[in-house]
Parts: sequence; structure tokens; C-alpha cells
Amino acid sequence: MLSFIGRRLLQAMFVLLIISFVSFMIQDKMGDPVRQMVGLSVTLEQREALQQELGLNDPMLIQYGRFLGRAIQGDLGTSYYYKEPTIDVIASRLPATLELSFAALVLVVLLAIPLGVFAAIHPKNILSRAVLLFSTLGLSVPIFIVAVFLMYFFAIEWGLLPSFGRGETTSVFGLWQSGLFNRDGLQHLLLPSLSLAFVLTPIFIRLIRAEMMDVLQSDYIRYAWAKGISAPRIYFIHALKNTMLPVITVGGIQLGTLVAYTILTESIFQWPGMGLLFMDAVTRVDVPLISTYLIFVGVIFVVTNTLVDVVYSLVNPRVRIPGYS
Amino acid sequence: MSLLSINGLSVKFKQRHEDLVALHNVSLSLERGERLAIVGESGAGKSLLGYAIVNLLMKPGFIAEGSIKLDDRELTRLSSKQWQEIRGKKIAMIFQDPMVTLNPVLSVGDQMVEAIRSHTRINYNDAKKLAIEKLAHVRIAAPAQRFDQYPHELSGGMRQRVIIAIALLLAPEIIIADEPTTALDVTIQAEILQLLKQICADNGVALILITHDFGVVSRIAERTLVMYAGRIVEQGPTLEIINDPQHPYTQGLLNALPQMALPGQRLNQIQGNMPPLNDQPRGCAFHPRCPYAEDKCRIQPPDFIFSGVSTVACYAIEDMLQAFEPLSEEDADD
Amino acid sequence: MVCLAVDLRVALDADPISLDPHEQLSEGGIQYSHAVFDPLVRWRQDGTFEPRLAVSWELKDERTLRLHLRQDVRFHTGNPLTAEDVLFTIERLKSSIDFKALFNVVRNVDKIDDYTVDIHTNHAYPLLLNILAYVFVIDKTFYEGRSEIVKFGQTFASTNVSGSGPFTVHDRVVGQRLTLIRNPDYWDTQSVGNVEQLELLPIRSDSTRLAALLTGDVDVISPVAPIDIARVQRTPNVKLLALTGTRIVMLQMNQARREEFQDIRVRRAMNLAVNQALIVEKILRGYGEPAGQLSSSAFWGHVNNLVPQSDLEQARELMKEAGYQDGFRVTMMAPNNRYMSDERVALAASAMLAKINIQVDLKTFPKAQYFQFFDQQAADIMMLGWQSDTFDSNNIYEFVLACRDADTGMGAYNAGRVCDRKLDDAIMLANQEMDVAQRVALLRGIEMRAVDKAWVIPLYWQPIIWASKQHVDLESVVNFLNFPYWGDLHVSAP
Repeated sequence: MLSFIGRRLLQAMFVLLIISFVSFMIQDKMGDPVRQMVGLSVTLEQREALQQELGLNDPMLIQYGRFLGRAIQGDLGTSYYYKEPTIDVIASRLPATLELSFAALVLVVLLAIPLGVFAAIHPKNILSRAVLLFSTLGLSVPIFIVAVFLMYFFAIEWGLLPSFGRGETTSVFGLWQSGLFNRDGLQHLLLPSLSLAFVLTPIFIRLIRAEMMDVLQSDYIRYAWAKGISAPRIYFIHALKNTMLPVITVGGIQLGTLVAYTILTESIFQWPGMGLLFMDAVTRVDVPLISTYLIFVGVIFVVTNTLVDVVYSLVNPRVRIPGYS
Repeated sequence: MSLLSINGLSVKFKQRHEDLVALHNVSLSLERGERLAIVGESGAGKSLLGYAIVNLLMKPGFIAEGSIKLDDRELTRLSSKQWQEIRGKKIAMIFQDPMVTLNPVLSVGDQMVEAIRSHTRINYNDAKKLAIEKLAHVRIAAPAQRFDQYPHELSGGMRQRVIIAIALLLAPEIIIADEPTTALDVTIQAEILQLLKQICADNGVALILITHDFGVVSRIAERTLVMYAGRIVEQGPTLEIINDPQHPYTQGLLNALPQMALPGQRLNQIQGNMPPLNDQPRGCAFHPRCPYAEDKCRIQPPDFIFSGVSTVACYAIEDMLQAFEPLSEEDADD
Repeated sequence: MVCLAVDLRVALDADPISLDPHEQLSEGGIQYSHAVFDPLVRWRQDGTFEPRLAVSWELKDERTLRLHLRQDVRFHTGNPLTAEDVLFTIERLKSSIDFKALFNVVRNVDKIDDYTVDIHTNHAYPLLLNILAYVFVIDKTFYEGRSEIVKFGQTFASTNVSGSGPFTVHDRVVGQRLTLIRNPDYWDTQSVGNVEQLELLPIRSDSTRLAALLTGDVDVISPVAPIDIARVQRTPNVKLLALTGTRIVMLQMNQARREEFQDIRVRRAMNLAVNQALIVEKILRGYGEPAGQLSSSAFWGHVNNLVPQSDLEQARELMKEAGYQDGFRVTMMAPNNRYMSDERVALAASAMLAKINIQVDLKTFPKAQYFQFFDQQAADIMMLGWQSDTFDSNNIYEFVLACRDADTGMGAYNAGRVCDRKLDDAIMLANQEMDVAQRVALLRGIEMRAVDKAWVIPLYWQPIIWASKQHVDLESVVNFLNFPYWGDLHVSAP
């Protein structure tokens, strides 16, 4: 296990190096950060002086070298806009995004597994057909339409839920600002996570249904019936465990798209997470923040892929973590 | 009263227009502790019969008519909850390929304990003990270790032993074994069969052995049933049938065994193929392939008669018996 | 007279970059400064100046303005406001990158006594009060020794505040909210403002901002996208406030890149081909004002009869005369997230120019990239929106019409490469002309010449659009500069 984690860490380092390098190289295509920081009437001279001060006139490789030098010491730069170390800025917004993603995933699991299993066990039932139809809708409707739609009905028309923001947060262990532990925070969390879930659930419903229908035809399921095992146990332990194997794999890939969807959702609901932070940073050409965000996302990818691999090997006894004996 | 009594069982496949008949009017009985073999080619309906007994027919199959009685209890009208109590507990099944029969993501132990705990109130540790005992009983070495392992970590023969062990866990009255050794190495086959025989004999468990292999039959079964095209054509004591097959189909089957052919000689095949479900011949199902076929065979399926050796459904035998009838009565007097 | 105290939640499209009033010269920054600090003088709706921290002033000589300060003002720390603070503030402004150009003309400030200062300028400067409106006085005692202004780094002033304004900073989460609470010791007891707590919330997305108002989650929003205006008007419990601002959006034709643009007939034809009224009517939904000149009616240079002309026939005639009947192909660049409906306006203008056979290859960019291209003058036609910092015509002329001079900084936004000697002379004169009538004549002269020479294509003055709940009377505090004086906002009972 240690060598596995060690290898993954190395992989992460490699990925981060490449990401940071690429984000540096495309810097001047992103725009002029100095312009965003000063008023229109500031002279060209002064802007150039600022550029000089920020080290933006040096060749890319030298700038990158400086960046690496500081990165090794744990300093990934200071945000032009927030004027704080980028790591701190992103870390402060991390809880919001993680909670949103977590809530969405919970909703997906709560919705997709029962619905998918039901549709697999009773494929001809009218409810199953309705579920499939609904899932087609979810797959074809873009997330911002879903989000605006939900916002329109639940916030504007019916006035049931708030329309933007995260609401109140409670501090957990002094580190984590959480919206999960108070009513206001949960109310604010509902619409954004529902939007995200709406877009992700369909593919899981279909996957679980298809896989499960296949699994239910297998000999070991028939054998389980022959042993007199109860139906719930057959569906939820024998069949589901096998069904989840490809679902976990696909789910792992979907986690990547979750990051992308989160950006959109956060922009629409003004959810103060990393995604919105990134969008703002791009508009303002806050280059240090953009680079750090990309690196962060790279790390998240490596971590989640590793987690998925570990979970997969735990569920499937025929697969052991590579190198672990 | 027989342990298991099947009367006029018909199994059909539901189709859009006309249902296809897969099992025609099958009747048989099984006594306590008796070992019965059901023999036939692939497609004869023997596995179907096995599944029908425990109501595990996959769609579109369904029981159309007939009765299946276990200890005088009618099984065809049971609810799914009642079925759950019967399967695994009163009637246990052993399938063909142990690799695909055991769930690959659950440990051997889990799959054993769940069988026990689905039918009895017993705590995990007691169930585990019972399971390990049974593993030892089927002669698996280091049973405690095997308990925690996964199916892919065991050999084919060991897996089948596990399946047999699971079948025995709740002391069933009947074990239905569907081609239990077909997927195993030839060298292991004999062992498993021997084990099965001994287990059943020791514990007084009735066995229904479904197979296409006469060699297997002769080793284990006391009585044999021959099936063709969804019908029973002959049934009787195994040795009698093997030594002196009555029905032309049984004869053909035994003739076709490699052992029956001389070295260098072509194997004796029965001409033709078993008819498909949607194109069954009228009258006796075997008549298109039968060397003794007569006109009356093409009109009406024959009834069962006792030939002196076995119970058989064949006009040729019937005629022969009628011809010899007076003689048998005379012999009986002496 | 304060009746009941209310809480007000205002959603804007961005939050202030920094709590330091001298750090950045931007609309959001000045809006914030007005809430937490006080300027020496303040614009009124009618274009005159209201005394604030300076109660009266007189011109001692051409280059010296004497200000008399209020004597009863205390900063949020409790420190009294005196001439020292004013000196300190103006020094600081002169060193701030964003403000130094504005205050370049101030040579120095003398303290006469605790409540009197003399402001000395390098030359006679008619717009001194205009720039004094930017002097948000800060607490010298509080800031001294740690008053550096750093654009891209954390400073004391960017996170710590002591002003004298109607609100104090209560809580700030960058990018999420800025909460201000009323200063109970505010010197302006005449103010009718009754907002007890003011929350400024950034909401980027136009539709989310609107939703927040419709649901009642916020009380006031700005800006409102033209496409959402109808919705606001249909909804009974909210109302719209729209005024025409002074920001002029225009198209500049680069004469150095295209010799065709050097021909006055071509420029006039282009001005006639672009139908400003139609653009405002269709794209801005009738909000904002079509412009036939650069100065809005609030500025001295505005000439009443210079209305936007639109005459396709005549345009074609002119093109034919100039020998370009068959037209030519040009490139154009415009931003797509900077000015109201900028992209759509650019598209419309391109379509209109096509009618006189000028084929336009249009590219639009986010503002982050656009202004780099603007500096490089990367296309034949460039779109620009200009807000005069001094709220005076000459500022526009200096940056947009004056001949480019890297040393003096004139013409920094002259992407048309206009170099009109007469214009430049007039601009210089207007910078020092103290006589109002003379100055107005000069400015109007510049405007008329610019229109006559068709140096640029003015499009429209951008509207200022706010929306609020019915009971919030924004008209009393929102002005043509778009600097609402929140301290004076009186909100009646909902």
C-alpha cells in the first residue's frame, strides 16, 4: 500500500509540474493583469513600471524558474486581487466547493441507486419507463438551463428557497466554514446541489440499470435464488456489488466532469467556491490565482483517481492494488 | 408416500402467438434417500425439469399445468416467501460451473453463512463454525482459511466441493445436481461424484442428478430417467437400463458411447436431430429418427408400459410385449 | 431626521478591490469611498458642487484656492479631522498610481491653520473642484507610518479603515460581502439617511442578480441588463431607475492603418451610415441616449444641435464622391464584456457599415484581452467607452482626440490617430481657462470641430440602470456620475 501511494504521489508531482508549466506558457494569452489593476488614465509608463515590478517583463522561463523556486518552499504566489497567498485564497473557498460536490454526490447516490435498481428489476413497469424518460431529459439539458429553471421556480415563483450565495456558515474546528450544520446553509445548498445532481444522475441511473439487468441474468444470481436467499439481499448485496464495479470506474471519470459543472453552477448561484473564484480570476487576469487553481484541480484529479482505484480494489476482490501483494 | 411427486407437469415458453411446449406431461416420483438420474441430450428438457421443481424457470418459461408435491405439499401454488423457505432448506441445488455459480465479489464464508442465516436464526459465529465444519466434511483442507478466501482463489474441484457443502448446510431432503461435474477436469470428476454419493448416502438425502453422461449415471444413480424432446421416454433401475435399454432412443444413446465403438470404427450416431420446440412431430416425438417407426407412431404418442426391465413409452415395445404375453403368463405359473 | 432604521442589501457586479480609497480609481471604488469616507466637496445632481468637509472656499489668486474645513468632524477612531489630515491625504493621492495624473496639477498644499488650507496649482486650473471631489480625507494619525499603497500586495490601508463617512466597515469577506454599519457620530446631522446596515454583495451573473431582487433576497441591484428591463417593469413589487450616464461609447477609425479613413468624406459617410438611434432603440431597449458628439448634456462642451445623423443616401453619395463606391474591407475589434451590450452594438454597427459597402471583419474579446489589442491598435476600427474622471469634456478630448504624445500622456486612447493641431491648441487652452464663458466656448468649439471633421463615430451614452424594491427611493441618491450617496438614502417602511 505504501509503495502504491508513493507512486501516486510521484505521479501527482509530475502532473503538477506539467500543469504549472503549461499555465505559465499561456500567460500572455490570458490578458494583461496590470490593466485590470489600474484605472484607465494611468500612463503607459506607469503600467510598464508595474509590469517590471511584478516581474512580468522577464522571459517566461525565468518567471517559471522563480515560481518553481518559491513553490518548493510552499509559496505558490500571491493573488493580484485578493492580495493574499493564492494557496490561502483557494483553501478558504475549498469548503464551499467540496460541500457542494459532496451534497451533489450524495443526491446522485440517493437517487440513482434506488431508481436504477428499481428500473432493472421491473423494466416494464410504468415508473421505470418514466425514470428512463426523465434521465434522457437530464442528459440532454445543459446545466445552466437546469439551474436557472430551478432558481426560477423554487426561488422566484414559489419563494421557497434562496436564490444565491451560501447563507450562514458555522465554523467547524475553527478551520472549516461549513454550511451543513445550520438551516440557512442547508437551504442555500439545496438548489445548486440539485442542479448538479440533475445533470449527473441520469448517466448513473442508466448505467446501474443496464449493468444490473445484465448481472441479474448471471448464474450466481440464479444460484443465490436457489439457495433461498431473500430478494433484498440478492438485489442489494449480490447483484449491486457486481453492478457497481463498472459504475465506480465510470463514476471516477465523471468526477472529472464534476469539477467543470461545479464552475458553471457556482457562477450561476454566486456560490463562493473555487469554481467562481476561478471564473473571476480569469476575468481579472489574476494569473497567480489561475495557475494555483489549475494546479489544485490537478491535485484533486490525482487524488480522486487514486481514491477510485482504492475503492475499486476494495469492492472487487479479484483486483488488488497494483504492486500490493 | 413419495418424497417428491410430479404429475403431468407441463412447462411452456410464452410467445407472442402460440406458447411453445418445452416439457410435455412429465410425471415422476422420488423416494426418501433415493438417487435418481435424469439423462438426455442437450435440449431434452432435463435442466428445465430441475429448475421447474424449484420454480426457478427464467422468463419466458412457466409451469402451465401439473402438480409438484413435496411431502404431499403442493409446490406450484406457493408464494415467493414460501418458496424462499423451501429453496436451500428443503431442496438444494448444485449448478454446473462452480466458477460462475459463486459470486466473485463475496467471500466463500459470506456465501455460506448467508445461506444458513437466510433460513435460521443463528448468530454469525455459530454459523461460521457450522460452515467450516461442512467444509471439512467435504474434505477441503484448511477449511478455516478457505472460509475467508474468494472463489477465484480456489481450484475448480474445491469450488464444487464448496457448493456441495453449501447444499448440505441446512440438511435438505433433496439435492438437485445439474451436470455437477461437466465443467471439471476428468481427474476430479470421479472424486466429486464419489463425494456426492457418499454424502447423500450418509445423510439420507435424495439426489436428482441431471446429466448427459451415462458414465456418471452408472456410478451414482439407483434409478434413471431418460428424456427426449421434453418427454420421459424410459425410466427404471439404472443397471437394468444400461444393460438392457428398451426404448430405441436409449439404445441409440448407449450405442453412441465411445466405449461401444470398436477401435478404428466410426462412432454410432443416432440419425437426425432432436426436433426444435416450434416444430415438434405428431405422435411419438422420436419417430422421425426411430428405426422401428410404424404408422401408429406418427399419430398418437405412446403410453407408458412396464417392459419387465423398465417403464417405457414405445409402441414397438408394446407390440413386442403383446406378442409375448401368453408366454410370460405361462412362465409365471412355473 | 432619522425615522426607522433599516438594513439595505445591495447587489452589484463586483465588490471593491480594496478598502484603501486611494488605491484604485474605479466606479466601484468611488462608490465605496463615498460610503465610508467624505470628500472635500461633492457633486450635486445639477452639476454644482456641494460643500462637504470643505464648508467654503475662495480663489485667492489664479493658482491658489483657499478651503475652510468643517470643525466638528471626527474620524471613526474618534480622532478629530484637521488640516493635517487634508495635507496627508493630498500627498498620498499624488503618490498613488491611479490618482497622480489627476493631482499632477496640484503643486502643494499649505496649512494655514487647523481648519484652513491653501491649495496651490501649477497653473490656473478650472477643474480644481472636480478633482477635490476625489479627495476622500483619511485619518492621518491612524494611517501614518503604514500608509503605503501597493497595487498587488496586502497593505495596512487595504484592510484597515478610518474615515469620517456615514458608515464604518463592520465585516468583509473578499468576493462575498462587505458589511457597513451606520456611524452614529456622523457629522452630517442634516442627512435624512436611515440605512442602519448596508451590505454590498457581488453577484456576477446578470440573471442571478435579478433573481436575487425578485425573490427579495436583496433590496437594490445594479446594473440591470437591457434584456431584463421588461421583467422588472412587469413585476409589481420592484421598480426601475434609469438615467443617461456620461460614459460615451464610440468607434475610432485608425487613419494610420487605413488611408481610406484619412478622407473626410469616408468618415462622414461612416457616421451617417451608423444609425445611433436605432441602436439605442433596439439593442439598449430605448435606454441610454444616441450620441452625435462626445460630451453628454451634463458637460460644458455639449452642443445642443449636434444630434446623431443617419442618412444612408447621403452616405452612399459621399462614398461615391470619395471614389469608394465599391467600398473596401476593414477589420474591427470590440470588447464583449465591458460595456452594455457591447458585442451586439458592434455587430449592429458592422451591419450598418455594410450598407455602404464597407465590409467589416469583426472580432470581439473579453476585456482582459481587448485592451491589449487596443493599445496595439490591432484593428482598423476599435470600440472604446470613455468616462471622464473629472466629469468634464476636456478629459475626453485629451485622451481621445488629442494627438498622441508619449511624454505628456495626451491622446493615450486615440486609436484613430487623430492629429488636429487646432484641436490640440484648444484643448491646452481649455485646461487653463478660468473664465467660465470662455471655457464653455472653447469646449464647444472643440466639439463642433470634432463632429465636423468626423474624427470619431460617437454611438451612445451608456445608461445607468438600477432596480430596487418599491419602497426604496433610489432617485434621491443615484446621480449621473453613478456614485450613489448611500448615507443620504432614506428608505420608507416596506
